[in-house]
Amino acid sequence: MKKRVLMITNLLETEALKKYLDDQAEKGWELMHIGKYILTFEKKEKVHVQYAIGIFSCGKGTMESNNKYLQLAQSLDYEFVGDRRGIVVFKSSTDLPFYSDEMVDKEYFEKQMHKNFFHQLGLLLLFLFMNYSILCDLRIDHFFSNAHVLLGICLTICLYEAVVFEYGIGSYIKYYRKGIKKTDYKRLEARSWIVWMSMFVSFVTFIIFVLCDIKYQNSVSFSIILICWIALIPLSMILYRYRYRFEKSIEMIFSVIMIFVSSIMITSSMMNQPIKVYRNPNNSEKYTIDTYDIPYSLCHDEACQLIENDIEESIFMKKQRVEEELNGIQYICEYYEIKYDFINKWIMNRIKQHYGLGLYEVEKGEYYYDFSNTDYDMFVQKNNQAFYLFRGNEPIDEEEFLKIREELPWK
Amino acid sequence: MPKNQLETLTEQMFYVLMALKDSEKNGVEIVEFIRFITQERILIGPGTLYAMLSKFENEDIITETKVEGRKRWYKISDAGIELLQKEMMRLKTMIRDYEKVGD
Repeated sequence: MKKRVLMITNLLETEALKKYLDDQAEKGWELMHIGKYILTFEKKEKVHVQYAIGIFSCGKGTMESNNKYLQLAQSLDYEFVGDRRGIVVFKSSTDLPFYSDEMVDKEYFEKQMHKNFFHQLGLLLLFLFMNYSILCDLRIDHFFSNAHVLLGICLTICLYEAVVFEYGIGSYIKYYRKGIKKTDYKRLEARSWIVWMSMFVSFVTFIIFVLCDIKYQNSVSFSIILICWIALIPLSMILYRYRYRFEKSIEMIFSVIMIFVSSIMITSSMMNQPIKVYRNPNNSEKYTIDTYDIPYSLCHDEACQLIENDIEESIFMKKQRVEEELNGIQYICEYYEIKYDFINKWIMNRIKQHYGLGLYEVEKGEYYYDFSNTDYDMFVQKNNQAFYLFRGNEPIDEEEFLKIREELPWK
Repeated sequence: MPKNQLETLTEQMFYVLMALKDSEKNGVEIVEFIRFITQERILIGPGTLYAMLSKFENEDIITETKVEGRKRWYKISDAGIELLQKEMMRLKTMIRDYEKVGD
C-alpha cells in the first residue's frame, strides 16, 4: 500500500521533516521517494531506519559538490532517498550520526541557506514579472483565446510560490531573531492544507472566470476573480488558526501581505489595461496598431463599441478637415490665380496620403525652386506669402511631381 | 572575495587534520581513524565531514589527490600542517597554564 503526501519545506524545517519521517517510519510507513512537493510512502511491517536530512549547496560548482556530498554519504552507509529544493534525504541503519559538530554544521547551514533564500526570491520575482507581462500584453482580440489559460496557470504558480516563499521569509526572520529552527511538523501539515486549498480556490476561480467570460463576458468575471483573490486572505488565516493553533505570528502577517500585494499587482495591471487594436482595412501586408486605454471592467462588446466610436470620430474629423482644406484651396487658388480644378483633383488624390495645406510667410524676393531640400512638395508664391503643400509619409513620385510642376499656372 | 582564515580548530576539525597528517585518506578512512584513535568517543557524521572537507579545500588546507568510484582521497597541505602545529601548541600552552595553577 502506498500513500502520497504533499509537503512543502524550506531549509529551516529539515529537523521537522526528519521528525515527521521518523514518526511515519514508526507507524510502518517507509519513505520511498521524495519529489519536489510530494513524499511517497510505502506500508511495511517493520521499518528500522533512521533518516538524515542534508543540505545541498547551490550556485557555482553545484553539480560537482552535490556529487561529492552524495558519494561521501553513500560511502559511509547512508542511502540516498531523494532530494528537493536544496534538501537531500538519506536513510541509514548505521550508528554513525549524520551531523556531529554543531559549529561547523551551523556555519555550513547558514551559508547554504543564504544561497537558497536568494534563489527562491529570484524565482518569485520572475513569476511576478511574467504575470505582469502577460497581463499587459492581453489584446482585445485575445479575450477568448489561450492567453486565459496561460494567465490562470501563471496566477496559480505565482500564488503557490508566494505561499512557499512567505513561510520561508517568516522562518528566516525567526531564525535570525531567536535562532529557532522548526522541529514541529504540524506546521508542515498545515501548510499542505493551505496549498491544497489555495490551488483548489485558484482552479475554481479559473473555471468560474472562463464560464463567466463565455456567459456574461468579462465585466462580471472580473468582479468574481477579484472577490476570490480577496477571499483567499481570510481563508488562509482561518485555515491556519484551525489547523495549527498559534498566536499572532509573523508568518501569518507575511502571508497576508504577500497575497494582498500579489492581488493588488495583478488587479491594478488589469485596471490599467492598454489594449492594442490591429487594423488592416485594405488587407495589405502592413497593419496599423492603435493603443486604447480600455478599463478592464468594460465587457467585450462595450470595449469594441468604444473603439469603433473612436475610429468613426477620427474618420469624421478627417473628412471635415478635407472639406475645410478644399474650401481653403478654392479661396487660395482664386487669390493666387491658380487653376483650382487641377489643384483640387491633385489634393483629392493626395489627401489620403496625409498631405496638408497651408500658408507660409517668406521674405520678399525669396523664391524656392529646389523642393528636394524642403519639407514641402510645392510652393506657389505671391508677394511675401507662399501657398504650399507639404510632404506626407509616402515617398513622392518624382515623375508625377515634375508633371505637376510643369502644369502649375505660375510657371 | 577574501577567504576567512581559520583561527582555531574545533575538536573534530583537529582530528580530521590529524588523520591526514601522515598519509592520504578518503572519507571512510578518516572516520574510521578518528573512531579508532578516540576509542569511539568522537564519531564524525558524513554531513559534518563534507562541510569540513569542503571548507578545508576552499582554504587550501587540504587537497584532493585522487578519485576512485565513490571515494575521494585527500592530503594535508603545508598550510594545513602549520595550522595543525599551531593548534597543538595552543593546546599544550593551555595544559601548561592549567598545570601552573595546579589541582
